[in-house]
Amino acid sequence: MNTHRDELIHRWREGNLSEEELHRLNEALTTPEDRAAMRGEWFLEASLPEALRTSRLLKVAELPQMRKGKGWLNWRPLMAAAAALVIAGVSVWWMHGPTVAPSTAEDPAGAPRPPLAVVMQTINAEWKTMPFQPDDRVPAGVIALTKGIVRLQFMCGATVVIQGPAELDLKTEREAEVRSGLVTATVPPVAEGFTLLAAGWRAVDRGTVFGVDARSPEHAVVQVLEGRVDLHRTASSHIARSLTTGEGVRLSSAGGIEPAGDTTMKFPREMDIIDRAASAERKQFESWQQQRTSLTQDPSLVLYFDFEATDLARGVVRNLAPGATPGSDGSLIGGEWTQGRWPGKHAVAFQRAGDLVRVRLGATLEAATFVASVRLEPVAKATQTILLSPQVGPGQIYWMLAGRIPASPNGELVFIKTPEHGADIRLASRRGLAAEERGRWMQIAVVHDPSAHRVRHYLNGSLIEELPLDDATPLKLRQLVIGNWGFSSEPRNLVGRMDELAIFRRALDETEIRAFQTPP
Amino acid sequence: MSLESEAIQRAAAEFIHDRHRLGAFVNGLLRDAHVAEDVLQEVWVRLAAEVEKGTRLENQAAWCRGVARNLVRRHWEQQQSAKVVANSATLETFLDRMELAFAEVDDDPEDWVARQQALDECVATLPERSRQMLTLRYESRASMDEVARAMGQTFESVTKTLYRVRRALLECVERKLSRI
Repeated sequence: MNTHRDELIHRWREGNLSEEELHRLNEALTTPEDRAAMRGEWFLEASLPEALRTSRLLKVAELPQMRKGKGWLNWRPLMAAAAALVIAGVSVWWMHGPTVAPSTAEDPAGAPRPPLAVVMQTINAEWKTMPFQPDDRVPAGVIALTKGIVRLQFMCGATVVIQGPAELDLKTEREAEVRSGLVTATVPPVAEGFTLLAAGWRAVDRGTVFGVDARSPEHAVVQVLEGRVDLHRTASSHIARSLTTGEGVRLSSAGGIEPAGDTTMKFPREMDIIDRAASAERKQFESWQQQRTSLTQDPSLVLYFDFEATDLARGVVRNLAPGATPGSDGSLIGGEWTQGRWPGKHAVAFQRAGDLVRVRLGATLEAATFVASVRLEPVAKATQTILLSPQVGPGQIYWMLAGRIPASPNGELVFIKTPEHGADIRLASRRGLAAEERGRWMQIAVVHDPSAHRVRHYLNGSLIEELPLDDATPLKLRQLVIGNWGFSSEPRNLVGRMDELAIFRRALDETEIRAFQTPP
Repeated sequence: MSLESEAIQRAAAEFIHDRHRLGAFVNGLLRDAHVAEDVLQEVWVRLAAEVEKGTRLENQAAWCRGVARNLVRRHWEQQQSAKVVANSATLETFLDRMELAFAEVDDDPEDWVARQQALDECVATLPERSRQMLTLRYESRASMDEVARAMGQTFESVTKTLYRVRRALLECVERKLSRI
């Protein structure tokens, strides 16, 4: 080991090297061996965070064996190749739908596991396992509810309604085991053969709606609501019994079958769930509308876009803040109108590099709160702009999701401001967005609070980062660009939807941010 | 920008494959992970624009390093507080040395990937307390003072331990690579 060289390398890393020492370091880096030592240090510096994350995911025994040569199998290149496919626009299944949550959706090789089902609706669902939301993809494995109802659609086309408390083990795209609880399956002709397992039995659909009641540990009840179901013991292809509409049997794990009478009424019906979910969405939308009616009376509001009060033909987004002038309305350039958080709610879809909303706000704010409701497309993408004030100079701001280059799906919430003197101040959350947060509606907020010397980032009403701010330069919002950064040559545009944006001339506290997130 | 052309696809795949190595080069120069990510982002943007123009790059990795070097230099020039003199001949020599250091492994891009896998294995075998210390320092980006407070140790003790752990990891990686 070359102690002199290593000490200089160490001092460079710590930022404590004088020019004289740098000169000595140069002299110490004249051979390939010395340069390899420096390269090794820099490799460690850059690679340790990921290695630490990996070490938590993998036990050493599970790591693939290292082999060199053409057949070298390694998960990193596979991930890189997968990421390359995504950015290259190649059609892969997980590009177009919401991503699955990483804790269950990635196998030890780091590749996403294929989804077996999609969550269609949830009603008051409380999860014992990792929670899912509508539109989430569900991979193989157990999902467990402590209460509430969830409707899943399997990739084969069959749908199941699960009433908690319940546990369902998804095995394939046409087979699941009901470990406990009440489950109703609706199977279209294309999915004939869809199978539910319970108590050592297989209930195989033959074009039907049927239910499985596995609330008792000793037995399961299979009830045909419409059509026909064949019953087999788990390990047998022999049909032990066929049931038709209205028939129900109690199956014991020891192999017994006895009539259960007509238990049709106790099973949750698919249409009821769809109606209830639609009704719940309507109520949420109405509740949100009422809350927003009072919100627009808040005199500290300087900009409020709900994307409802719009002139679709002219691309005008009305600023509903009290006292707002027509001049502060937004102009949608590119972009498309689409559905927001609920059916009937409008949103703007930003898709192409030139899509943006421009606003001439003419405001200078000391304290300020920015709140936006957005849904990012699940595709990993580079830096995405929420909004910025395009005038260069003190008071300029830039609020964004600091996406990384395409290989990395996550990014932090970042607020950048230009102070009166010195370099830009970059205030970033350390926590990035989790994979499952893409493809879902989320509320993001940033509070600029110079009197408290703080900037706070919020995600879905919760504080995720509080950062010191030693600068009181007022924020100059003469103009704003929303969803883009105004320079179409660089891909920093938002790729996703926005259905609400509010700017206040004061620092909202956590309670207010949370209330904004969750309408009563 | 269209990402659909074949050339862009190829450039993106190569960029992603090489990004950890390029990231180490940039991060090593800047010693600031956030700024390094911004520089990487900018390199990618410029690479994509260049490829879209139809430029054929003989050695994409070297081209990216060259762009990154210029961006790093520009960053230093903009930073009044930079701990290095941005336009000094000594610094240029240092940049030359480091560009060469990374060019010396251009012929074996798999080596970098193998190193990372070896590092994964080495980190997994560390005692829990060492891993905690590294996590605080490298994932949570805590200062040495904060690490010392969190671990209930003195600043000097943490400095020494981290130095030893880093050396142990580097030796472990070299050992594993020599066995391949």
